[in-house]
Amino acid sequence: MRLDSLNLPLETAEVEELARHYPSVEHFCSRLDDPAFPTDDKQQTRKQQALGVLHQHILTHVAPPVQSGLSLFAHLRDDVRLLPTGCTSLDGLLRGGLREGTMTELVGESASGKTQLCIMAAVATAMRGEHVVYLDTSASFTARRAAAMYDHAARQEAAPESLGDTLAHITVQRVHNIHALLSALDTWAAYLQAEQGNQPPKRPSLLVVDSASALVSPILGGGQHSQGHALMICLARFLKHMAAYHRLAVLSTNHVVGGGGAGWGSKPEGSGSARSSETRPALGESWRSQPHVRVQLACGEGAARSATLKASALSACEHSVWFELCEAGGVALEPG
Amino acid sequence: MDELARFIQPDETAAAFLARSFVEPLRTGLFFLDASFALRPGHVVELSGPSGCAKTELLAQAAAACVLPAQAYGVSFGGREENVLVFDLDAKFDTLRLMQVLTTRMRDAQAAQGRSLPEAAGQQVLEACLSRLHVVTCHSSFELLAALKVIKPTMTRLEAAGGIRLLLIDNVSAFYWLDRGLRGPMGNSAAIPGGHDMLREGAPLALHRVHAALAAELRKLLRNHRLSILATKHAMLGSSNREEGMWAYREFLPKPWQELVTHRVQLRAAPPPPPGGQPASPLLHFLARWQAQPDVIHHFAVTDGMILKQ
Repeated sequence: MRLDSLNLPLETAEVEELARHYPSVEHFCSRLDDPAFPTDDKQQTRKQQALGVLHQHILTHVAPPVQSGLSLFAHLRDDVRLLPTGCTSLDGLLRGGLREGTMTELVGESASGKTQLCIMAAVATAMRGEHVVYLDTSASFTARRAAAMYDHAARQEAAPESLGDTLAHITVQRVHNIHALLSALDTWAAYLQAEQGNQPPKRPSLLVVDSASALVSPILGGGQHSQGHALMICLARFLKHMAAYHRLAVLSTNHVVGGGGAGWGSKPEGSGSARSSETRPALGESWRSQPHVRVQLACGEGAARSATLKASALSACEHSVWFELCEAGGVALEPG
Repeated sequence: MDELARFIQPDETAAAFLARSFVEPLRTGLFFLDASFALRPGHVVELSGPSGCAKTELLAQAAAACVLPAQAYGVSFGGREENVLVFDLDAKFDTLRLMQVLTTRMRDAQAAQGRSLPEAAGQQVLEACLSRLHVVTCHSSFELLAALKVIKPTMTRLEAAGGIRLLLIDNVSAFYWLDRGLRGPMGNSAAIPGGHDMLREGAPLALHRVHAALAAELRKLLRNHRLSILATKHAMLGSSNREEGMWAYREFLPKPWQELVTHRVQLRAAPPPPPGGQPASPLLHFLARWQAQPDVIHHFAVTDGMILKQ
């Protein structure tokens, strides 16, 4: 942010004087030493005033607010909802659904139901008349699947929205590299920012990124891409920022790769099922701390799938539930 | 001569000095901190560990110990009734979790003392607790530095209203990769004719500059407001030193931050029980050790409201 573009309530000469020391607000915030003040007393007070104006600008426009616990609590109580995913066992695991303002990750091997649950959550949200942004990185969203899930759900209870309306609420964007993904997110953030306050017509309440790892894992590791980690964290931060700022629930997926080694997902031999003992999530240690909630999916016998809570601030982890993948999506199974 | 004589007169007695400067050590409510050393103003404790070893959780517990009242409605809650300021850089400090901790602790305190507060009173105590929590959520180093630049009025306000002695920072390495991606200084750029500021000093928000500015601002806060800092750091493992095994550790943050830290604690999730063996308890189990005291390993577990010694 260049100082001369800020419209500070100062004279041009004063702005120029400030800008000689601090070309931008970024420079001002990261500069340690105060540049030598002019010796003249009168000039010095003017300088102080100019700095005061800059401080005020930072306080009102740049710095994040100091929020009291009470206002955070009021926000959680009044504004933040839990979005049911449509799969009752997963909702139970998540204590109600995907929380707005947070990022939930589904991690699991292929065919463990990641995409199915993503589509299901999108359909369940769209059926309530809310908008969904579905960023599809591996061309796995199919409208036929979504329609089948809609039909099944509409048979269970009368749906307020027709099939056409429901599908129209889901905006699917195909993105095939990390830059396209970031740019799509940027466009949405700009749209929401511009419409802030006056309830935009297409304000999404759910943002799905399926799958985040498909785009990120190729740019990680051994000198393939010098900025791989920076791009990965950039994506994670962007998703969390959008979630918090625009009150979205974010759902992303992460696949697993073989070859445990010292990775955090590996288990010592002999524990757990043979199938999952040698795998670890594709996005590893640096990504691991990013999502608020992580659910690990694993294949059981036939169509049965298990979902295990691996990270959550509120609930004890390692709790598992079962569901069955079928025409309707994920249907809860009784334990055992 | 008179002046000299006056000059060497004692200003105050040792007792007066002690009375003026002695500060009660701050009890964080984390047993492995409180048992080992006295946290005093100016101390910066770094809790480092990989993801999933209860770092953010420990901060929530420390925050709960700050904001709970010592006593309310005749029930002793064992808190300090102070403000606490949280810099949430990972956007993962969950107010709901803090409320869960607070309500559990309040319930346990009432049960232990055989008292039961009416619901309205309990709600009042909880709301008073929450009003003492102050959170700044930053999504970039720029936001963090900007927030620190203008934090002074807030600090003055909090000092007037109940006092503040503890600053919590959740994950000081949250922006490490982003800041590292920016260009640092180019070394000997004097040789480049018309060497631009950007070449000489690097981008304004490059890693080393962010941390130099961060350390300088925090130091100013520590000095002016007599604070202690409890900060978490996401440890990236992969040290070449294999002898240390699970405690392998590699410092990756720049010097200014390393110099600011006065005490280091390492955290790890406890290794899973051997195959066939029964876990010691159903609770998740964590390990902590002081870097200066590597022989003593503290075991703890996290429940709904407490950090339990194992």
